Amino acid sequence: MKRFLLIASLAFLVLTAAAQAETLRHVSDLAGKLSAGEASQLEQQAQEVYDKTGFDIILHTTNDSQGKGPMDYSFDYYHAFRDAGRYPDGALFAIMFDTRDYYEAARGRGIALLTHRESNDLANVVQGKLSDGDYYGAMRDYVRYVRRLLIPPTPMERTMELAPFIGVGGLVVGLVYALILKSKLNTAKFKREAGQYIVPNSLNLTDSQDIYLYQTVTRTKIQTSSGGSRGGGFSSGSRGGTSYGGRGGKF
Amino acid sequence: MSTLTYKCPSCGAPLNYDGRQQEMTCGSCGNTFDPETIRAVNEIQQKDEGFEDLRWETKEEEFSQQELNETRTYSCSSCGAQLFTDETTVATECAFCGSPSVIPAQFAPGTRPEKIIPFLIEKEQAEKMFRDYFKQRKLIPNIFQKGTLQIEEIRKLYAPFWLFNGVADARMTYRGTTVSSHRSGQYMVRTTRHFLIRRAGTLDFKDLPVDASERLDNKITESIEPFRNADAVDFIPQTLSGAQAHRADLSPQQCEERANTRVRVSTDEAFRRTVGGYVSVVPESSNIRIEGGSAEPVLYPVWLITTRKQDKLYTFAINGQTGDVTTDVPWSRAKFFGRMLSMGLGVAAAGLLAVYLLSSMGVIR
Repeated sequence: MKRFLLIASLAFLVLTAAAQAETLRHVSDLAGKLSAGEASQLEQQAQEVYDKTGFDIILHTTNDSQGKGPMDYSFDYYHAFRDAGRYPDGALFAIMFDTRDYYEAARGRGIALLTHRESNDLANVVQGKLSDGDYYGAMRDYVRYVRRLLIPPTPMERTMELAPFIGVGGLVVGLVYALILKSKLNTAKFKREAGQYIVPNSLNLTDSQDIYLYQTVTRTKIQTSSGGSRGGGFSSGSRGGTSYGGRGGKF
Repeated sequence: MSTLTYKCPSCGAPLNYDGRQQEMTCGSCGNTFDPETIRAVNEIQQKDEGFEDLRWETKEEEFSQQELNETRTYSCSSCGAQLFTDETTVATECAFCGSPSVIPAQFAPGTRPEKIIPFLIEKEQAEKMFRDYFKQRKLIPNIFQKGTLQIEEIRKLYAPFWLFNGVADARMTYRGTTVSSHRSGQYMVRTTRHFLIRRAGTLDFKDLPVDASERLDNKITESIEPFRNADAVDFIPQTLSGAQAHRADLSPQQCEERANTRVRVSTDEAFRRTVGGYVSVVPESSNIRIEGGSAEPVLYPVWLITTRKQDKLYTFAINGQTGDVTTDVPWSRAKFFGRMLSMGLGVAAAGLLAVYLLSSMGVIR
């Protein structure tokens, strides 16, 4: 009996350790836009989020969205890539280069996360870098963004985030203060003008003409491809009995 | 035989008349103009040519024989400054170099001041202002704050000024643009309209003072402006009693340039404010003529205090009427950056603490 309990305990510990150390693949770079180092870093960051919250982030690029719309492609890919029964909570961020779409598909807790956000949050996070061709940066920012939604920063982390801005602001206040003190010294300076000696209301205009001469016209083509669209509304669908929700845009 | 050439208001190249279009065309920049517009532009440019005239009439009344008998004008034997005082003063010290002077028996005639503003600030008040100044200023170099602050010299001085009065008759032209944009298909169309703007008119200046003493630094005297001329009284030699006074050793003609510089800036600014509704306005020409300009000699009350630190003399001046103070004492760079950093770090520390507390309370997420 004692031996059985010992073996059972050991088996439990091994299984628990194995479960805790479970490593998922989070990056699916079919378009080949990431270097090995970049992909590795994104894997680590997404895995860290998974370890801490159980929320599964998948980052995907493709050159072939199979003629589907961004929503259908993303829902289908997500459903096929990761077992919805075992990993019910998560989000997939897909970049489709053939149609220049990006899309975020979510399920489980991910849907709740999406619905509580401003409609153009995603665009604010990723669109600038996508338009600039910085795909790694866009995906890294997406992971950070989701991490922040799931794990609110501690007061100390929040303070450290804002520390550079507060430091610069403090120095600006200090500079203004020192300049005010300086303005009270060495005041012996020439007067620039004679405004104090103008007789009040003495300005008398005797001639006032505004003559139109000519005009110049410039035409600038409106750039549409680099502007992108600021993300669509929230859409939802179902794959194999699993509910999905998502939104995306063009870059 | 002279020829008349019209120049393009845009690029300055000669314009040709296009008989078919009945327009003036520029062969250089390609702009076209209505002949009536060109006529108006030419008229404005010709109107203002040779208009400028910045001269002031002066009132230079000599002392009467009786006043000369009561007023003493003399040159400092040490520094050469021209000074005058009342007849009762037989010995004084130079207001500028501090050398003791015995007033000679023979006096040169000088310009008689029209008005004088009496001192309202007494010596004790002036000394207190001087000492308070160094206590209150945080960037004063340490040499002024260590040990006792010795007044090397304190002088009650009537400083000579010319008061300039006149009407600035101004003619200004500017180039202005307006911009409008609209979308046309796949293009943004931006239209910039160019205008020639003319303003003409008058602006009155009254009692603009210019320091008439060569020995007084204009930076010092202008920094303690303004003086209230409503308090001025007619000059009589007795008003000099108990004070030193400096004779005007700069003529109104020598002071005109300073007055004109200030009048021009204020006139330009006043007329510029009448131009509105443009995206950009660039001054093109400014012609000012002084009408009825006059310069009147007056004496203004000034306390001059000097203090010596590390063998350097620093001047401290107080408007003897209003109590306005100025000085050429420098500021300390080390204290400037020290104050900037201490205030900056203090504000930053308070900001970080506030963010930490607000984050802890859930106000900042």
